[in-house]
Amino acid sequence: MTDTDSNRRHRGLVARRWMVALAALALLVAGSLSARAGVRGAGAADGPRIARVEARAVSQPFVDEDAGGPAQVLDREVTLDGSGFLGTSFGPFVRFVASDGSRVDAVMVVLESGGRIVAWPPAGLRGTYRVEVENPDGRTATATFGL
Amino acid sequence: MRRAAPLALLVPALIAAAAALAGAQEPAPGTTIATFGPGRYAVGSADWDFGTIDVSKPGSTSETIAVQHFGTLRFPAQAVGTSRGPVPRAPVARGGPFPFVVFSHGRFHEDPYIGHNHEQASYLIEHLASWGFVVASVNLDVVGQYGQPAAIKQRGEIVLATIAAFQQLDPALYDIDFEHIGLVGHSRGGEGCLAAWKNNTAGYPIAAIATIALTNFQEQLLEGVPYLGLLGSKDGDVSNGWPIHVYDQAAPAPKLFEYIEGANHFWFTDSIHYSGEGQALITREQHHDVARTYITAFLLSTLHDAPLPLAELADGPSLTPVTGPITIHPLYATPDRLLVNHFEEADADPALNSLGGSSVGEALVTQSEESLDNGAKTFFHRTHGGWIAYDSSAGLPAGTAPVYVEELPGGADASGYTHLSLNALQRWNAPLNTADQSQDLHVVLVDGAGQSAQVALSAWGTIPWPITHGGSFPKKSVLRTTRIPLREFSEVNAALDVSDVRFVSLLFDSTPSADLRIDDLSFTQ
Repeated sequence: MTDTDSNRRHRGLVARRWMVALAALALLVAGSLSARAGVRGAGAADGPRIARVEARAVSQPFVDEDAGGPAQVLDREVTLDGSGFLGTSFGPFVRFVASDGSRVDAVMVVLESGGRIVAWPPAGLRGTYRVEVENPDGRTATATFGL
Repeated sequence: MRRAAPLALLVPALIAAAAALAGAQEPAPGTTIATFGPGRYAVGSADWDFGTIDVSKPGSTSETIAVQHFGTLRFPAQAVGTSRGPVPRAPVARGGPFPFVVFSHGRFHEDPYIGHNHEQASYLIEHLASWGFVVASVNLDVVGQYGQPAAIKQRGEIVLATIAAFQQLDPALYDIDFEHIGLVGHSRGGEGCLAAWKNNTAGYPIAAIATIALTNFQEQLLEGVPYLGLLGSKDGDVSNGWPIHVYDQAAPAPKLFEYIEGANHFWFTDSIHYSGEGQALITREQHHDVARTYITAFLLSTLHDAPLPLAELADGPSLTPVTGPITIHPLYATPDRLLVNHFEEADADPALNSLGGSSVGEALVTQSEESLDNGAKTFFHRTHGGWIAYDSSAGLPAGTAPVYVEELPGGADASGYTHLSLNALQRWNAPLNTADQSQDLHVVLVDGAGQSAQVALSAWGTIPWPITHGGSFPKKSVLRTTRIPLREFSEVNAALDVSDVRFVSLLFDSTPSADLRIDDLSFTQ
């Protein structure tokens, strides 16, 4: 291995260790907060749970790489904090259910961790919705929020 | 770049089996496929980390994301001490250069696997290293967080970046043969291999792709690269037929597919157990046996130029150590076949075959062509097939039987081929089929002088009663390839002239009724 490669790998390793350390710290903090709020820690074995939903305005260019279709600009980003979120080849799936029962799928879903999903609804979706998270094993969790 | 050492020096155990296979098309009695066991090399290991790389951001047309590019390596090593497991930083074995393989893992985005999913195929990558491959398993968990879009293209980018990174290393370090590169992947990682092949703008000589239960979000079409696909019938994750679609739509270069009874999705990993999929009907170790045996033999044949005919992986008797305890239904196609009827003509005329000859049935209930697509909730394919049904249960005149005849206009010279190949299935929800019973028929060849010979399909394969699947539709019918050696016909009738075959017939005199689909009737190697 060349010196350059060696140095690069070393820097990468150091950076990765920092990431691991920071992630561990974040988990400790999150665990502390959850304990104070009386929320029991839960993994995917317990199914998904939504503890908090937060929506914010964004301007996020998006193109569906899997299904094709035209590029669009997404205007809302929804962060779901909770537990037991899981992804296999599929999922977790995120849907927005209106008061009349109509449903629309999130166009982009990022599973940041087993406790956080960030999802983007189709552009222009507004109003009060029930957000539904479905793990690939079919277990679901719901919460109501406003877009 | 140096070429690989003569295989006789490299893998003598394989030669013993393969020589018989190459010469006589079937191994000597008792010969078993060598790749069921480990190869001759000790295995070295090293974890690697090339720092961060930029890949395209899923869902974005222009942005990138930074990905920590790391993984683990297994390579042929000089024996060090008495350790039986991988030896960290062992010196590379003599006898190289060794073909390079990138392993691309699937998605199981749950702690504690996040950041460690690349370590979940050690059973396979260590086996490959023992057989003379340098295998880099790359971590893809950063893009694994993307549920939707599925980040397939990004997996391909990271696979290609892995090849590029290892090419920059001191060539003496692992003695890698970059002229022979293979990609192996599981689930989304398998589809990532297809994306890497498709977007290989650097022109890396990717000479083989093997996948386990791959996804098919982007419906990529393979062409010009040998392909092996594995899928378990009890896969409770990729249970929608995607791996079969990829096989169906790949151009044979050649292509192989193994449908494994009772295997699920996640037992093709070291230790992941996903409660959301049904229990496998075979052990995790048997999953590993299948992957190790088939993928290693496939890569030896395609990357090491081993004299192991890939057809052996379709129906070879040497596979008994694997196929004895469990059942595997193969599909197999080569590019140099003579297609009598592949049922893909745009007009879908059931009276015409692919050679322009007539397709004629007698005493059939149905002679038609139809899509065998997943949408029908009955089949699992992305292809068309011939629909042949008959019912003799009420009796027929003595000496008669339902028959389906393909005419080969002007006669076909099949002397350059070794086998007649037929894909067939029985529809599971058809009253003319009997539950839990295989179907059978006779294949008849007739030459220009009227000489004929018939061989029972069941002597060389089967048309099984459809097995139970994972997922929402527990019964689906899947095609299975049966290959009959042409010499069998000559042994039945020595006067048969296979250089002038005029008719290929399917004679339905073995069961009282059946509702079948057939495909890719061909002469092949």
